[in-house]
Amino acid sequence: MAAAEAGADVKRGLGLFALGVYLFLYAPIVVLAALSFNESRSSATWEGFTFAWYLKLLQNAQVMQALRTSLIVAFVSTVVSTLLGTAAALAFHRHRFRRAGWLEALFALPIVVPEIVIASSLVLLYAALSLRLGLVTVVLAHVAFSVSYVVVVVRARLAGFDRTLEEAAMDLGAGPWRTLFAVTLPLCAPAILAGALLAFALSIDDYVITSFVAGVGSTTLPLQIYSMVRSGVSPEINAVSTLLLLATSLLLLAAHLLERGRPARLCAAPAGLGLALLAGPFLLGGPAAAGGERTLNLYIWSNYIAPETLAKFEARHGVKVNVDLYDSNEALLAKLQAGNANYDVVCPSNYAVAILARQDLLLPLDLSALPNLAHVDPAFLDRPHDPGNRLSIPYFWGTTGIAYRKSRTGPIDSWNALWDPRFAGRILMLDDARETLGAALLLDGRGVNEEHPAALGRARQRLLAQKPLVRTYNSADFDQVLLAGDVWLAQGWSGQFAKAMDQDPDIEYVVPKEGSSFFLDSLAIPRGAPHPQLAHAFLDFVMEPEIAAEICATMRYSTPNRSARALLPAAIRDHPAIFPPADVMKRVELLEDVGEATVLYDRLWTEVKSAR
Amino acid sequence: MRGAIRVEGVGKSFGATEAVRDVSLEVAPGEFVTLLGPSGCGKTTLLRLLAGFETPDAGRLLISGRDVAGLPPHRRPVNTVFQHYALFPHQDVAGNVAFGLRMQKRPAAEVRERVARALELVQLAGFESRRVDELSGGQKQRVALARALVLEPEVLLLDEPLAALDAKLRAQMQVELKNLQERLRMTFVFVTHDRDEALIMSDRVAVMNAGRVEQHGTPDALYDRPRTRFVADFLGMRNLLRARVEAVEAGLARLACGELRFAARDDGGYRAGEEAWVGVRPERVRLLAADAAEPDAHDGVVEDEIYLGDRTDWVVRAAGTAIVAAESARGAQPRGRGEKVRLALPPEAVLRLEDGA
Repeated sequence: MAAAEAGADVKRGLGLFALGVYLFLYAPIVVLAALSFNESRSSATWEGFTFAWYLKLLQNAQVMQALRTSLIVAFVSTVVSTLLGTAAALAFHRHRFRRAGWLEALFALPIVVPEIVIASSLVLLYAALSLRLGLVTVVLAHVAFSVSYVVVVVRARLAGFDRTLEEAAMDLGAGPWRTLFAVTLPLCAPAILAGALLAFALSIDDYVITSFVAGVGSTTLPLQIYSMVRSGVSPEINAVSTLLLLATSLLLLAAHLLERGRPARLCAAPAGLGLALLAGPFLLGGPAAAGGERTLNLYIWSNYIAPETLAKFEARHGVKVNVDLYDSNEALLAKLQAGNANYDVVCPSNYAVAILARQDLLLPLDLSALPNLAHVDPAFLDRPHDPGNRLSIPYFWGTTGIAYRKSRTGPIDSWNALWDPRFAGRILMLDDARETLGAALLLDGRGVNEEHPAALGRARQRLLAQKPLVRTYNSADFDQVLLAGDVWLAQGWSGQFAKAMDQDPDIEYVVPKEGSSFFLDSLAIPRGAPHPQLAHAFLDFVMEPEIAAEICATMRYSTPNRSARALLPAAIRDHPAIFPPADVMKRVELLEDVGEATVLYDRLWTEVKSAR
Repeated sequence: MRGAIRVEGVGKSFGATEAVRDVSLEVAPGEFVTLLGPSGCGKTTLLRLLAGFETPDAGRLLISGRDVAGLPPHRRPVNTVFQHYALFPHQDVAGNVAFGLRMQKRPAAEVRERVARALELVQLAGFESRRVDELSGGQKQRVALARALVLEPEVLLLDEPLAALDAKLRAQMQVELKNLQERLRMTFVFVTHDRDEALIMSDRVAVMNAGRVEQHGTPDALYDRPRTRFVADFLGMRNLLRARVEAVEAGLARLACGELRFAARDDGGYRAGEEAWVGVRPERVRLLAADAAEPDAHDGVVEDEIYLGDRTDWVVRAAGTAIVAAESARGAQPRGRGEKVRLALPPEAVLRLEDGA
């Protein structure tokens, strides 16, 4: 009796455990789906049910284009890798030949090779073959990594395949091909389908390899999402993800029903619905880029220029602008160093301009083609990273500072606030060597471009002392963490904070009195750009005062264009985060390339982060 | 000629293993021939050579007078019933049976009609739309049979088709299969390792050992006159003795196996002074009472009793040699272990056997 009760307890316990595991697996997906219907932009609060993000998604040309690209890449690479992988799996299953074991192991190897290794070797290979980076190189790369998975999956399912079935078919008069199509393939269909689904899933969410081999016109959804991190991931992404999830679930359901031998009529409904969802972007979002036209290939951060602004340029010059996105200067550097990317205009930060200049990867500008440069504030011209603006023009800038919840903290004016024990556990610091060490250096009375090891060592000590007070180091969505109320003070960049202030009047932004740094993103033309004249026209276009004002008003980053500022509405022109007063501008310093000290910065920062 | 098979000096090796060695065999049209032998004897390889799943290294294969050695399986006028049925799991019963007809691109009406007739032939009428995984072993076997027969092949090849069935069903299917073959007058080549099955069903049996056909003949002939020690052993001849030939005289060979001396009818193969293998069927050994006055009988002691229902086998030691004697249930007498008896080996029951491979 007691034993039976104990048994029931164990059963109930195991049941709860299983429930927990399922929750662990599916809770994130449920949250994602739920948030796609949240009226609030912030994930922290539920403000009511809405379909608005789905409607906005349909209107977001960039996300829709990225989705289309992702689907094209996924479909093509799935078909090709499934064909190749199935053929290989059948060969390994059927024939015993010399070194079969070795050859099969070679197929499995890419699964365990780190993606980053595959990615960089593919870039080198493409460069050696002088293949232009683009849709084709992305598809080839996806085929290369997914074919291994298809082979492994199909091979595993084939292990139980009865070869006498094929002999029976031949015995009954089927030749080799008819045997393949009438018996072998139908019987392997579940295995092939499983392989294809895996290939599709891998392709849809690959980031690392794609970011290396993508080129003109091949920004996939993951690249788009990563690139949005800098300016904030919008809930439209939740909507896209939910739709993708729904579509693939429907296809899986159809496959499952089919495998169970249910009538085709029953399977057709979910399959059709799933396919319709996947085809939607191609029907709704308008036609994809039309071929034959002259194009300008722009490689830029996400949310750095509005589609309507690009449309004006397209109309004026009768061309098409192709936008591809990246999420870090390092990604841009890698792409340009590979030398086969085909971009006309890129948007490096100032220190990246210096690196590109050293490597002679930028085309010298023809300043006579850029009369609108006269509208740019001289304070942003002729800086050390590009003397005389021979290679780049300033596009956007912003400061680093502290945003805080004034009802909690009272007024703040010093970096010391981030070291204040009263705010322990309510402080956020950027996850960035230059910015964190920079803040500590400023408190020591040094500059943000300090290269002296002793000064940097002291800065590290400061950060170690601060560490117990810090809730998190975050460079991606620090503004969201602040909006959610998880922290009261956050180090961060002015652009995102300007948007946060518009959402929550309790948030204030300050550039501390000790001084701070600012960044400057420039536009430049890579060497080998296919349309250098059009690229010059684009650079001059964005410096037109009306256009520069429009870009600033839509994107909320600070424009270096003097004439444009006068055209802006007062709310933006006088926004303390977007255009800090003159006295503030006196105490900010441009982050420069620190040369060999970069390594020291990275080492000290790693020490801080790994300390207990 | 339709349905005749001629195998001439066929050989097949897999790596270092010679699966079939220099086999020659003739099968007349409409004959039921069984390839009998232990596993690994080459019988299945020979069948697969006929079906076209393997190509011979040497020799010629003629079916209905046509050399088929170079033809792939789908061009040969034969069909196969596989050991584990090999039914297509993704098709229903009708789909399986219709497979071959569809490959021949027959009109739908003809396919339907012939499938129905084939299923009727194997007593599965009405099973058309059943899924194959819903069928019992015996039903699957019938579907496999119908699938092969529906194409009206010149030769039907059957690879241990009854091995997976239980004993009762198996006995029933043996009879059905034999009746079917007689009705269709189709050449059947049947592979089995089961002696009784071979003897019951076949017109002729080819006993195979180590890649060779050791003996080919009617069941009666094989049973009564096994030519080699292997064939005798495989067909259940329990008493196999190695004997010295002491003399050959007056149509009799005088043999000695240890201290046991007995005579055999001379078939012309005995040579005085040499050794020879001989075999005696247990049912032809005569057991006599201990006091029976029979000049050529030997004194013996019962060592063991093996009760088999319809008969009893006695193991008797006579002059140092153990001999098995069988008595039918009706004629059997109660005997105990250690009981003294006399046993006689009639000369016409002693068969000379070649040593074989």
